[in-house]
Amino acid sequence: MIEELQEVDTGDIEPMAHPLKMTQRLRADEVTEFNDRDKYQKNTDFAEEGFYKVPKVID
Amino acid sequence: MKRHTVKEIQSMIKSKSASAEEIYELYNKRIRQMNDSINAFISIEGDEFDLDTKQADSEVRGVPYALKDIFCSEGDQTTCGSKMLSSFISPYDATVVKNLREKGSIILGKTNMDEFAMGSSNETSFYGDVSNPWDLERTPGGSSGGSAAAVAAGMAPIALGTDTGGSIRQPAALTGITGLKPTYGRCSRFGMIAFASSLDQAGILSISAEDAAIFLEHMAGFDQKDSTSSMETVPKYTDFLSNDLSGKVVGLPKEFFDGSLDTRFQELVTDSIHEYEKLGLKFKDISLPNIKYSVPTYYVVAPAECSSNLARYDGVRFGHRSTEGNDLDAFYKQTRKEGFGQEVKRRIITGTYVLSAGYYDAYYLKAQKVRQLINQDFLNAFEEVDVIMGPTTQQSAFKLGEKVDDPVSMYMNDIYTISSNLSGVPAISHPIGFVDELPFGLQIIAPHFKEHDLLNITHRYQMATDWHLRTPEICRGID
Amino acid sequence: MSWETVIGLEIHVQLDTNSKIFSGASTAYGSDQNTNTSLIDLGYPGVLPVLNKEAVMMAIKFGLAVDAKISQRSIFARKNYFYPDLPKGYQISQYELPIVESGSLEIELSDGKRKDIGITRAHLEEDAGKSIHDKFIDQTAIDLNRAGTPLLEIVSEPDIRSAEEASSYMQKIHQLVRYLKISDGNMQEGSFRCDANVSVRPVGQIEFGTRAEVKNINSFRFVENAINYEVERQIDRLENGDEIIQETRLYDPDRDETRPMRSKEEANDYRYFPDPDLLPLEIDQETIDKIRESLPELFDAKVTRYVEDLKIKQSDAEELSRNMQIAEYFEETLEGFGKDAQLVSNWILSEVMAVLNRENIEISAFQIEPMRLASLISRIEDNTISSKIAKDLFNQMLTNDETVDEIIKKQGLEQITDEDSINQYVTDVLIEFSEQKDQYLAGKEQVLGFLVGQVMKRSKGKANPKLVNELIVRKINADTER
Repeated sequence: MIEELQEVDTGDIEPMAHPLKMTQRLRADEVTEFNDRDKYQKNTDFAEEGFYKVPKVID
Repeated sequence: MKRHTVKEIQSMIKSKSASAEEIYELYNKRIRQMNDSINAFISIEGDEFDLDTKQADSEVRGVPYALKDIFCSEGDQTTCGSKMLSSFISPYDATVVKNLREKGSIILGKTNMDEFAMGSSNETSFYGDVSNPWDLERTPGGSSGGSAAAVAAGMAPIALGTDTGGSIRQPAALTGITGLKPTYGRCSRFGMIAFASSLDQAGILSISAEDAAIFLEHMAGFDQKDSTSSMETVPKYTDFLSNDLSGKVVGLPKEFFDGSLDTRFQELVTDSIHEYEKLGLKFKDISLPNIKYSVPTYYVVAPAECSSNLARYDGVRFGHRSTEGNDLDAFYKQTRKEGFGQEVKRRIITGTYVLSAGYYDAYYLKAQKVRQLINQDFLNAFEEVDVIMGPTTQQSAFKLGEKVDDPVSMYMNDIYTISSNLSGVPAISHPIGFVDELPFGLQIIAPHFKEHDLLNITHRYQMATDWHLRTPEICRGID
Repeated sequence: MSWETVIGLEIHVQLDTNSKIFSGASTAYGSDQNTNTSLIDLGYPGVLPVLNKEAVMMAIKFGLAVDAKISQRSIFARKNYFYPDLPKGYQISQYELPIVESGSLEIELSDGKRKDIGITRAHLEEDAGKSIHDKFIDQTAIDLNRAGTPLLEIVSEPDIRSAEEASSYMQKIHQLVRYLKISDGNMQEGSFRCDANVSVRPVGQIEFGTRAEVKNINSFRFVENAINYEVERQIDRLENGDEIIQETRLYDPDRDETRPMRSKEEANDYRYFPDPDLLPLEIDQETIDKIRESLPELFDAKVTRYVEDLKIKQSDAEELSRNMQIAEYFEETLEGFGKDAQLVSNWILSEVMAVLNRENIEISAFQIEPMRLASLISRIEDNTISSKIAKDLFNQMLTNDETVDEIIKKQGLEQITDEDSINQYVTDVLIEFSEQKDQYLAGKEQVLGFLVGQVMKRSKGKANPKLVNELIVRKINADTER
């Protein structure tokens, strides 16, 4: 099905990444989030001493 | 049973003929009675009813609604219809939920949906299929199947859903209710679990356009937490509802009327056109030449974005986590294998493929270019007409299980709706009649930020007809 | 066979913003694990990034400082791979359209030669978290505090031809980012990280050889060592007829060698695509111009100005300019005492630096503010105190907060300039040290220094040495004329 796209003559057309012609807004460099670690870590049974844990990675 | 509209609930509360608690209880009771057979809800609010007096002058104060389980609601289980998030309790509210909460609107429960919003029949949910209230052996559509079924069956007066390729409009059409997908960027996506970021949009499933107008006023608006959120002012949509329609021109794309629609459905569409002509609308033939590429374009862009959006589900910080797998690689593989369903996996694989080196230009980039052409088609059409109309779906509700083994056939369901997501334009579906006692819907598409036209046109139709008020058999005997 | 080394450096600089690049969490170093993580940094379902303005401004500052083209339209892209310290499963970076495009930086080599090193690009991206392997037995601990910290990745052209050039380039970039105040450049804390792409080719060959990427270089010395090792390793292999494998290698400073790294990303296909949650970043010319105007004077310009306008010795000018804060201290002192910049320079480079080194502190912690140093030096210049006394006073000022004049008055440190008083001492000294007096008369002129020293001693350092010198000579001559 997706091979059908090759039929279309897209020539010089710009790809459309966003539906609206907007540009990126910039946020002021302020700290607005504070420590909520305990609240967030309620969502996993596998945190220990504040760390998240995964099977050992060897580099 | 009386399926109250939001408008009716507003006047009940204002006139004090019913309190917010009583209304909440009424819907709660209905949910408990009907959910076993319909399975519209994944979870039901157990919270203490709590209505702050500070929302005293809000228009939606005390109005309960059903929330598609794709929206994060603080302290609630938020599953996205997936095993991957079955244990996830959201620590925060999505912005649209926060907006409604601040206005005093109350969540009745989280509705069932296709897993991660991928599907058109609500058959891919980890929490089981949803049944269409008009015929329990049929699908209500998807991915907002639960929200649609809840409203259609009177289990909620109104519901929130999301629409990435038709996921609000198609279920609305198949369950005989009104479904609105606003312009991309109209409502904040913050807290709305992402499927395809450049296509997803929060929207409304309701009994009437009037209800949708009321809720949209309170949901929509700029959100600084969402970089893709629009700064366009939010008009008072309800002010436009009763405007006169004469002089407005409707485009009928020949691609939507190519004869492939079953004649009985075609008749319903023709009847609705006549009804609209009586209301003053003029009709014109137009063409959207690239529309036929919208399905393949969508099925490149959406999976690509979703394959990346779903990479975060690895069991490390939240969600399902496999206990098998001794090394990191196995851990990831197992967790995701166990947590995701077939359709999700299929789309992740497709997405990964179209983005991979060597294929990016031919698929993803190409699709984004075709997308521009489709958008151009709409812009050109809207130079000649005010809105575009056509059927929302090719058929009425199909039987559960009928299309599960044929995903491509399932994808073709989205043919009328997908193009508006690709372009970002707003669209609405409303019921226009029945074939074999199953509802069928008409879709209206408008230019960017012209939701008020969609609501106005639909409202005028709904004042002159009563398809939207028909109640399914299953509601008989329920309070 | 003669070999040529080809090196390109990729330097990741952590930008010194208050909050993260895409979220409002703090970037403070050293916090308890996972306490500087917002839901956005944790990659929770439904969250979205919003771009930090300061990070953008800092990137532009850097670009302007290296004469690069600032892209007025740049795009953020997702770099997709799985790793536990990458919460979203992708890193938001920039790929096809970075914010800073080609620029260059001039470096100086030990033989005095100067060379331009091209900078291919610099782009903004977010840092990942940290994996800690030795905290738990069978598991790796993940700390996501660092996840989302803004990084500027600076990529050089493969113009570097030796380990020395690499070190020089790395140092220059380090100095620059500190000068611009966009990063503290702290390599121990990971604010400044360097990877080297190293390859060799026979001299005269145009195509580049296969390169290896060397990671974990966190000092200037290590970059030289790592490159030297790697170059030798590659030449050895090639001379033996073996190929160079394109791979990532880790530098081990303890063994001074590079080893292949077990790749974290198996496939190198990152499937880059523009991030749909972020819109194209557009910068107007006005913003760029404003930033250009706000750029601090950079090293070379400063040195030139010190030499030409302030008439300071070249080597002193370079020494002062090397560290932006010392240069600032110097210039502030000049505001209090501007008559003799060289004198101020001398004081800073000898006395002040000695204290900084001895106490292992930065100039920001130095106990004497520029204005007080200025008043000390002006009291030397106007002959109120002798330079010897000044040195003692200086040391006192490290712990004494009083003004220079207050201390001089309280301790009676004024220089003795009246000839009669000095002549008293001179007379005494010439009597006591008549031998030296005779030596001087016999032609041994350097003995004068000794005699001056003795007078200074008797005057407890307060006599004006120049005057002492004069008076001794006068007296000796006067005595012999009798």
